[in-house]
Amino acid sequence: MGWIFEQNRPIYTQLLEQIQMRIVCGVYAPGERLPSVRELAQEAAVNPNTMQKALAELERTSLIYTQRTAGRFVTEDAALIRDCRRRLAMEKIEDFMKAMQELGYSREEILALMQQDQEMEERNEEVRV
Amino acid sequence: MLRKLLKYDLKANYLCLLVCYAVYMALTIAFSLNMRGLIRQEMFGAADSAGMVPESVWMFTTISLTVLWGGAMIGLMILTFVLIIRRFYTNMVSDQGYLSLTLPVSTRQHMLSKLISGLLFELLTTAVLVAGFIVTGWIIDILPILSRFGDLFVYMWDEITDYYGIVYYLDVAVNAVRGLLMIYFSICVGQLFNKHKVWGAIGTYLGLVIVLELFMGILALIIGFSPSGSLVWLASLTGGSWGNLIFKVVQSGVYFFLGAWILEKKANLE
Amino acid sequence: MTPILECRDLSKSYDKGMRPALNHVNLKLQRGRIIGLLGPNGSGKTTLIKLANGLLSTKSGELLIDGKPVGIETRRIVSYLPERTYLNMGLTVMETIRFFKDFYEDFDEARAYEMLKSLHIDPGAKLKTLSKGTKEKVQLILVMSRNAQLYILDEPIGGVDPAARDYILNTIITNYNENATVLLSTHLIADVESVLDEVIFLRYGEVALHAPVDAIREENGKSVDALFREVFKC
Repeated sequence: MGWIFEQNRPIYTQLLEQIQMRIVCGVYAPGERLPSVRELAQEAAVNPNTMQKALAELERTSLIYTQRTAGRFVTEDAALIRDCRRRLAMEKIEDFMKAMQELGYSREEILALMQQDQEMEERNEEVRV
Repeated sequence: MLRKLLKYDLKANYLCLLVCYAVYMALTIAFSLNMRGLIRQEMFGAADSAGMVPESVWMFTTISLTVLWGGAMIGLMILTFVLIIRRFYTNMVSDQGYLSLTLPVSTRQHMLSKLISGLLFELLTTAVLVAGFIVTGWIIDILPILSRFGDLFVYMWDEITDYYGIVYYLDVAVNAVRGLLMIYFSICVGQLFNKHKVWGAIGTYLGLVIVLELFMGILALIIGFSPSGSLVWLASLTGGSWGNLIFKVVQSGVYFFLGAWILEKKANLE
Repeated sequence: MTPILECRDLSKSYDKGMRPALNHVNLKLQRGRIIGLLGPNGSGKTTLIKLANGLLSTKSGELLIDGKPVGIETRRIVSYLPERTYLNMGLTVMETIRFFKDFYEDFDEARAYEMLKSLHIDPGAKLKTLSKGTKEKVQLILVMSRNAQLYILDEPIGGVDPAARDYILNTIITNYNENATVLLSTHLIADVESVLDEVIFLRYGEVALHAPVDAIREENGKSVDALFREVFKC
């Protein structure tokens, strides 16, 4: 998973999102020790202070925690990670909905469209089998 | 820090100078051997006529080697001077000045290092030139005659210094120091100009020379010395030489400290 | 804590009657930051940098480094990369490293050699035989191998290829210690944007903007690079 940044949003926000993503996807497994701020900053090619700030924010939400001498670790609380995952999912859906509404679809139309897409997918599956 | 600065100042020029000394020495030897051959043939003739070298060849080699040798002598003096000045200019106020002036070293130490290295190079060139004469004398086998000249020189020197005392020794030393500092100072002033920094330095130098000559001239007139000849020289040879010496020492001090101050506080690098 | 660099009403002009190169600049740079000094040609970036290194003298106002006026004390803690080649071209890379070691107590020789190796530069090579880009890399290596408190880099990535540019930025991120500040001037904003804490926009010798990068992105909804193009549109 590479680090890619959009030009028009704060790097800090994007770092926050991308680290959350990595934790949710298990790139950083529960209980795993995170690389140091400096290593992470180097990997992402960002300012160490910005990285530090993002990690501090994640610490505030308890998704990661600091052990005084050993460094930073991903939380072992599976529920917390699940919540985070769900929140990210909801955000994605919201973004998607917003984009679709801009195209002029109503909520019902969107759901119908998704239903259709699902059926098409299933038919393709059958043909292949 | 001064020792480190000196190390790099000496390193910057020594190789070029060594090569030039070698060339000069080679020419000295060539010139001397030619002279020896010429003198032997003129005085004793060759052992057999087959060994005789035609007059026209002697003429050609003698004239060309004399010109070359003389040229090398003058060239060596000029080159030593040019190298010393160039080192100061490039190292302090052109691109390399970006490094020199941002080192954690005071500009006074920079000035001192440039002064000492410059004096050392002048001394070395003088020594090589004198060595050249001795080698010539030895090869042509006129060392006894040369040593007579040497004795005469020492005698005159003794007479002069006996008469004027330690002032005369000091005057030689102070002149060398003042000469270099005046150039360094002029370069420091020259860099204050936004454009034409080299011309600024040359202008400053010439201006200084003129002002000093005028000043000494007027001073000499007032005190009542003869206005003929170089008044500075005259003054240094006469009873007022202690005053003259002190004046030169003061001048050197002003060039040194003011120059260092300009580099420290009034740097204006392009 | 005293700012690592502070300008108080700093002005500088070269010729009388001409527009001043710097006009009543007030700035405070804090420790532990990577700061971009941005502005079009002739906006006063290099003038400010040269003043901070004592290569020019101030006309009016003050420039303090670690609370002290520029002098031998401040030179000890400032590591400066000029926008030109300033080394003695007759020396080899190794001799130049020796030179830095001789004069700077905070110079880390091992780090310099390590960086030379990473960038495939032969320490035995004479400087004059190196390409322009390689000379720039050598100078940057020397400057970044010091453990200074303030690094002032004038156009550090202008003349090198993109791969080396990445390496250099990486070096800047990883090498400097947490309390050191890096001030770097460049016109390649997009390349450095993500490594900067703050940016300073200079225009006609005046500070047009001094703000954190993320604050700029947040407020304007665009990158610093895009904002720069807008502000300095011709």
